[in-house]
Amino acid sequence: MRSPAPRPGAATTRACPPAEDLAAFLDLRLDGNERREVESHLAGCEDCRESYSEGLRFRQEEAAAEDRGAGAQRRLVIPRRTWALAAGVLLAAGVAGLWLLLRDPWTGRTRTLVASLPAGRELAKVLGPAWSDSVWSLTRGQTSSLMATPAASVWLGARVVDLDVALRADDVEAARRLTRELVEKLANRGTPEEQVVISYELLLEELETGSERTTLLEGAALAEVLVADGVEPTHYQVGRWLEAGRLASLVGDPSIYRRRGWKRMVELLSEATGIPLELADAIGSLPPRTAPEPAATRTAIERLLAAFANGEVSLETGGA
Amino acid sequence: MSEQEFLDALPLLDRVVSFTCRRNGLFGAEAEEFESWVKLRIIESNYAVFARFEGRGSLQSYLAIVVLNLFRDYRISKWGKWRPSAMAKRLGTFAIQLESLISRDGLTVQEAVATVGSASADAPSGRELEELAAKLPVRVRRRELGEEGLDRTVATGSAEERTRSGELDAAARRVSEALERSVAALETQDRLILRLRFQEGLKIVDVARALGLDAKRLYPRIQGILVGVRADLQEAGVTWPQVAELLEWSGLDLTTPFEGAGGTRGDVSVSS
Repeated sequence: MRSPAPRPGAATTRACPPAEDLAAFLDLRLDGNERREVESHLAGCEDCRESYSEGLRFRQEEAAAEDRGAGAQRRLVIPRRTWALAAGVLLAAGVAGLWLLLRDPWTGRTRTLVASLPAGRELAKVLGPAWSDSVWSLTRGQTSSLMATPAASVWLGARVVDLDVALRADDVEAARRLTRELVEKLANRGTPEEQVVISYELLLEELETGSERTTLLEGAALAEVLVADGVEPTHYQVGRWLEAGRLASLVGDPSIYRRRGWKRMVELLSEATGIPLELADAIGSLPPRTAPEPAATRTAIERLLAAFANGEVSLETGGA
Repeated sequence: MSEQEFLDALPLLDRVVSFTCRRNGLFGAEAEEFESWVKLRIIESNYAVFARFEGRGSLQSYLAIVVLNLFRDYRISKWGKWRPSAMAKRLGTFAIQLESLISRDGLTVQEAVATVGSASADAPSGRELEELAAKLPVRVRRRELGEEGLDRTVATGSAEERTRSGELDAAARRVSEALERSVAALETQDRLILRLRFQEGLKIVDVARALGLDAKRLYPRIQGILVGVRADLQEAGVTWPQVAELLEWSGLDLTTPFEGAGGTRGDVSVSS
């Protein structure tokens, strides 16, 4: 570090580092002894610490402004992404309703969703070997291996898909909102808060300043935290299927659910509810990258929801 | 040459000044006065700020540090040693603006809310600002009194209240001293981490980036430091009920590590 020099215009009474050293420290351009000397000074000098922390905030604000400008340009070039997200946001309320309808069967009453499936083994096949134990328990109507709040796992699965879509659609606001919802939910579930906070803060950071790739990576890291600690995997996956299927059907982009067998899962769930045709057909008939047909598919979903609400169909019987 | 650099950097300089004013509750004529003061200082020094710049850091960071240093001098010249509380820094720009107007400039909460609310299109609603103001520590505005003023000044409150206040004051000093001793005994970087996190209100991820550390490892590290501080405080006879009482005591701005990291004070309480 260079010998201290007075700050411009400041009546320096202690050996504060020159503004340029603090700036270099802020930009992570100091190494070794220089860095340690500035660190040591900052630990004891409230004035320099204030300038440094406010300088850091200014740099973040500048970076966020640049990112917003770049983001606006990207959205102009790829309007489909924004549209897809808007559809996703509209779906959130519907998913919440479906979650509420699914809640009872998952929480203590004797009914289980997968037990009513005629194709339980096929479900296990699609899910893969890692899921077999859980699926086996479900198909046998055994719930002892499940978490006390499996409905929360369904909810988390749906939200993580929403978050994934929001991140891919480059909608920072929606992604931030969804992330907060996820963190609050996890905090209520007793997940070690530090993990969630770190992932959350990293994600927010990336949302402000990071590239699309790093943002997606941080989003994935948050999802890993969510799943790694106490979320019942099968219920979590069901939440993902439902939300992915619904997004796919309304947005008109089958690629959302074609990965990991989501399409087949939606079909199986539709089959279990007893009104499989409209929803499954609506999803299954979507050719790749077509214009969406929200009205038709929404009708099918609304009918599915109404059927649950009116008691026309139950998960226990698998039919009307 | 330096003059040309000054002219080239004017848009950046304006953004830094605007940021500084926003972060410190300077509005309207006051903000304009500070802006003029900064530019005048730079020009009067024959653009020494630019002549000294060697490019070791970015110009953005450099000018930010320069202006923020200048603001501190400006602030001292106008308001003495007043500075925003750690709580206000943690709560963000609007909280700092409110606190500046209330405790520094002597406005009422309603006046401060109206001023902040009308200063920016992004400002929260009046109700949200009032809620924000309610979270700020109550701080007594510094007033200058002459002998005549001192003569008119009388003690307020009952004798019992004054005694209680004195006890709490003494307890606050004991806690602060114990805390200072504990923090002073920490390794330099640990001390800086705590100060940046709890006094400057930086997010953990920002602290990590600032010091070139892994954010995921920093959180447990901070928790570990706090556990050590807690043990020191316990050894010094400080209990969590004492601290809680002090935090409840209006007028006290304890910048302790009891808030933040875990989200609640209870997470790092000093009682066993």
